[in-house]
Amino acid sequence: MITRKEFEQLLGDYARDELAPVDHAKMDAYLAQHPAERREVEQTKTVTDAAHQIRRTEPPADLLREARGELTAQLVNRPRPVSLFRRARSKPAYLTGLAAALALVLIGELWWGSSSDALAAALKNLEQVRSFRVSGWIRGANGDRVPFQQHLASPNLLRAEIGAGPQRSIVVSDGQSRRIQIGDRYYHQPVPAHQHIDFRWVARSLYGYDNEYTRTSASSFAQEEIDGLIRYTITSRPLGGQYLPGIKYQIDIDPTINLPRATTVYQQVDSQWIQLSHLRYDAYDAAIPQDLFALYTGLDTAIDSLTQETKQALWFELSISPSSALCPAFYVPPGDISVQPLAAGQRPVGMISGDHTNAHGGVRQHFFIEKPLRDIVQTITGLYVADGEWGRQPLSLEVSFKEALPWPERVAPLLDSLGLAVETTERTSARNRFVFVHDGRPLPLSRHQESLSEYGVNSLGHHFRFQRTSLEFIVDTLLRNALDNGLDRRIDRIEFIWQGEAAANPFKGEVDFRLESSGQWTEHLQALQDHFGVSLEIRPEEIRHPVLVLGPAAP
Amino acid sequence: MNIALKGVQRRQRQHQYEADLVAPPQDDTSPMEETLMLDRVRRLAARLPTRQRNVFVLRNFEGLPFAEIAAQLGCSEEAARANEYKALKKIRQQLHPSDA
Repeated sequence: MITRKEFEQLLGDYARDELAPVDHAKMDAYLAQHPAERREVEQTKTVTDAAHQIRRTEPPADLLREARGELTAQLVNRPRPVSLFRRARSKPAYLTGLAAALALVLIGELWWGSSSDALAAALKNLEQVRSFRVSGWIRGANGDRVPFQQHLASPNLLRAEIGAGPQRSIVVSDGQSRRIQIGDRYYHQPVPAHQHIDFRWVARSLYGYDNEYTRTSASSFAQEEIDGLIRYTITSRPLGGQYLPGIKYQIDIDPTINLPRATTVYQQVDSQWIQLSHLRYDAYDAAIPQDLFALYTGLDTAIDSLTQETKQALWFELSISPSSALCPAFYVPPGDISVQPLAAGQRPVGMISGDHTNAHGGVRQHFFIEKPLRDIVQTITGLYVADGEWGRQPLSLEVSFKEALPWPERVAPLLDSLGLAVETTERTSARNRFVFVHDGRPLPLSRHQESLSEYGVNSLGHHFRFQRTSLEFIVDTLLRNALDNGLDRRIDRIEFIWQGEAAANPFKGEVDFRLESSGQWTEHLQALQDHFGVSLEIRPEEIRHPVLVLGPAAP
Repeated sequence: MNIALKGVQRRQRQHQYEADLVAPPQDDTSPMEETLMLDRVRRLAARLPTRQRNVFVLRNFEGLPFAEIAAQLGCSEEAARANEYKALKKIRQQLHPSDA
């Protein structure tokens, strides 16, 4: 039985019906013994219900501003650790085009709250088109405008040409396989069935995902007429739970044909909007030469294998797809690395503590809020960092770098600014291998077309929602987000064992799954076992591994 | 697209945020009564002592969990809950003075 004080502590959440089941039951038991206090609950509920209604309809801006102001003041007034990051971003000189969907995802999630029916109708019209051409420029790795052209034919046919002269690369995909030509080198990559794309997907990529994932938008949405075209401008900002850079995206619709004529993408870097691409759309339903979507070497032996190194070099060519017609871009910092302290007001909205990483196109962007230096170095380098006094200071940083950068160069600016250095040593450690196996049962196939993954925690518990997501990713997410998983992320390994044919690997299969849990790993594992036939074996082992040791730099 | 989306999502996994909650269906209070009630609660909230008001606002209007409110206000979760209890008590006592 809870005490009166505990009753008071839980009353608000009880009235809001946001208590965990175990606490809810305690309150019910308490009220059964104290019927007089039911009146207190009822009256409290009138207040919390009213507050909820106020929140939904017209939250008082002045009170929110004041309350948020106290948060900000608390964050600003906290004693800051040594923070001498003087490596200010110079003018952005290096930008690189990115064909894949980072910004598309962002736009898709953000602009629902303010999207235009007219724009939606125009983009939906694109679904009826059989072919079109996209041409213009995107930012290259050296900051130049790189010519870009893309032909698309429904379904699934793509030809992209990036750059000019000897450096020009050509990508041809028929939905089954992708061939890439750079100079006289050819590469080949099969395209998994689940990545097959039709124009419906292309249209929805330009508009945003058509799924149930809706939230109030913090983005601005503008519409204007320019030279007979209707220009829609969507400016996105990071939302609570989202830590992506600001993107401004313009799409010009030709009202005479009700189809896109141009798109332009900007990314916010410091306080500037950097134009990252400008593409024109034309040749709708034009006749296409028969061999446009073919790229033959004549001899299969002339095709080079895609090694890890080549994949890294060909990140753009490998990620481009019909639905990346928009071709947004991604910022690469000058000198390939940038370290910026994040004051309270500069932090991504909704991010109060922890870390978050965006990685795409060979660029990694980390946000760390109040994270110990040791964790930061460990995340950036991927190497184990020994515990010690020099690694304990909490920092709030944004760190961006090219993934090709060797680890010493990734941490050098940060450690230099702190007057620290790192030494490498080796040690023997015990670690666990978390080995997941599958019992071979058929997986329930996803009913969705788009991938979606959400995770949230509130007073009601942990909420996981996956759509068209690989089982491997789901297992990994449920393990990492469990409260008592016993996983040492610094050193333990997570493995997925499948002895059958690679094509039938259930861990690669894409499924839908929702889980409401208390966050306990045993609960997650039981759900994985029940729904998908996944079980876990933990295998301890000893390994010899490198260890980084932080200490003061030599004078 | 698929891969890129997952790439983004994969890296969100270690972050906690409050999930959106679906508004419950409203009761049979008339619109006018409801408007008056909301207005009263809004006014009463504005008259609370600062700390109680901020905790009440952050919990009820902003939807922050107590753990986050406590962490950011530099107090314990217990203290944050106690402040909200006091705020709720003051508001309900003024809404229902005969029961106070």
